Amino acid sequence: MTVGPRAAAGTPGSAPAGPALTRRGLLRRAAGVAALVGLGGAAWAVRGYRLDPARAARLRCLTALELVVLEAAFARVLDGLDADAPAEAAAWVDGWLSRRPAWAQREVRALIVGLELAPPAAIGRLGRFTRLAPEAQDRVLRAWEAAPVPLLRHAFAGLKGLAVMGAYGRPATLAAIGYDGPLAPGAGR
Amino acid sequence: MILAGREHAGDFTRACDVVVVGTGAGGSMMARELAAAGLAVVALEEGAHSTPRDFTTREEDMLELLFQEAGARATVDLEVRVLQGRGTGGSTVHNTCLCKRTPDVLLEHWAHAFAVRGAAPADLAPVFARTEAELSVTQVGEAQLNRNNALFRAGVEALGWRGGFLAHNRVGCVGSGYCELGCPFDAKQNALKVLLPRAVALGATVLADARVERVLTRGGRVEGVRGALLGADGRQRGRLEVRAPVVVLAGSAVGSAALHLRSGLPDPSGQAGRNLRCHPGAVVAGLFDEPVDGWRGIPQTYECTEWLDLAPGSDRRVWLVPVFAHPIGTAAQLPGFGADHARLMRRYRHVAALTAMLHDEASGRVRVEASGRIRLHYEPDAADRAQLALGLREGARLLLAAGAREVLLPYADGPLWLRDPGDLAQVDARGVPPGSMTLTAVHPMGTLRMGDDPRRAVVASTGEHHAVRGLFVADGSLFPTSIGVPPQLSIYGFARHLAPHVVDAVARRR
Repeated sequence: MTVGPRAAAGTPGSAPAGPALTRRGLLRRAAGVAALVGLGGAAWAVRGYRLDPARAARLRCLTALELVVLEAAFARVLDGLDADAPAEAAAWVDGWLSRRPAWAQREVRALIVGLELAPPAAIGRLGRFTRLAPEAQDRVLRAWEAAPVPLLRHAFAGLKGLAVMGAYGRPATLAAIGYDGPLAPGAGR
Repeated sequence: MILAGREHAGDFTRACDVVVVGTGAGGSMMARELAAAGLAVVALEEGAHSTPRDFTTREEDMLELLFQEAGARATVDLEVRVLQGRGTGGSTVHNTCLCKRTPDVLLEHWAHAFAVRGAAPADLAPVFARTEAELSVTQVGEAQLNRNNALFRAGVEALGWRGGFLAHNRVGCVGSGYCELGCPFDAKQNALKVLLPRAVALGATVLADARVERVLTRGGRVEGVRGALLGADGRQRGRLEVRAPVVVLAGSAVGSAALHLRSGLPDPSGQAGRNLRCHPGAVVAGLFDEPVDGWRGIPQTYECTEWLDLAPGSDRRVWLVPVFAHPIGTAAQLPGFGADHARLMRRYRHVAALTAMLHDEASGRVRVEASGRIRLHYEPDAADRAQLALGLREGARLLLAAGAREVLLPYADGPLWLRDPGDLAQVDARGVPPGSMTLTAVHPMGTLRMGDDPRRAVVASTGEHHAVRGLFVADGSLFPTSIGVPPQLSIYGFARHLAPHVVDAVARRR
């Protein structure tokens, strides 16, 4: 592609020159296209991540998209616990994360988005993590857990760490494993 | 008095004789010793000031209150989780009260190999004795063994191995089992309970929520520190500046090294931030028919030293000791997820566990990113990994000898189950290759090592920096090698041992 004053002036034998396509003009058009694609992509990307308004209003750090992905992941990691565990654990993580420094928040967000986009690379399936059946989601998580790439293994460990932090402080979970702590408020000195 | 930066109006500026950065074992001892010598002392603590009333025994709360990075600190490759204290009292608030003197064989080695002077066993014995008396250190006994430790002891005795009761700094312990989450019964005779109040009574000022970001120097001399006052949310709410002719770094082998690097201090030896050792440990879990309820009672009362020879070059560098985590710690450590993981967690009451703690020879380093974020680079080498595998194998042997129905080794790609001693060869076959399991470390040390050769050490045997007059170090950063035992008594002891040199330095500057 030729861009610039020479093309705009036209040369013998060339097609009649249209409006001058300057570098700035091209960049402007590209930016416009990118914005449209971006908006379209964003609209596509956030489909299916709606939360009911009451829950959305309670979010302190995560976006609705991030919470939905996190809940889906926790549903697999915490399978075997009571039905409320994934949502309650994800809500706990939202509050906890709001008190962490910016770099920690960035890492958790990257982890969540990375998981949502992981299926093609992890198990060769197109589509997002949240759209997979539970068995396929487990395969994605297992792929990360045993990945030859340390970053993915550590991402799994981080995800699991968040899930157990959110779940194993809940009375229902503690009762299920026979743990009689923590102490009642005021039990110490 | 102990002040909270979150409640302090405006900036905090002060001038004094000595500013101590960090209030754990080293900082609190130093502050108390210097205040007792009549010096004007300000001790600064990045974390919050807490008391036993704040210790809710809830893991998710206490990880955030009492640990660096809310318990998520780890090496850059995330292979080693590094649990370090934060808040007044530092790691002495969450540790399990183990008190062991720096081994004589290592003090002698440091004298010969690292030119550490004046810290021979005979020099330090009276220092440790005074410290043990002050912190009420006594050996625990039969009555204080919980079931987890009793099973461990049974295994040691069944195998005819070397073992014994440990010494602790606790008085009035009710055996609640929440030591690692801060004692709500105030039974720990630690920096928070014993030393900081005494420092304050002697006139020292202790300021929590005070993050030191830079050591101030001019012309090769220290002039004070600068940083930020933090709010309850951890965000800056004011400026911090304390001017003093002498500064003592006591913010741990991670924090002190990071502050040294962040401040751009001269480093003729090139060793600042290097030589990081941390005693990484691998967990072995045994499943018993009987309930163990390992979270109840004192977590660590008995040790096995059969596989620990601290002489340099030893091929036995593993200390076996019972360990037990509350549910979040256990669930994070157990491999797998989903229904299998939940089934395993339902056997929680029947688990007995130990850790194989490595007396590490390989070393790493502390680095600081431009953003200020601390990064720990540390990887066990092949020899250290072989020792960890030895620890896993012999730890499994111990639990089987104690009567475990089966033993679990938490490999990341799936647990290895062992059911009789004939299975132990599987551990040798698997080994501990990089990333194969999560290790846990609670004893970082060595990053500003001491010695009288300025080409090899950052600080002299007096604790004073070789290139910055008036700057001292008084924490685990000092140790030239791993010490192979829990370090709190060594840190208290070295701070006490070095305090007279700090007093002299103040006198020189007056």
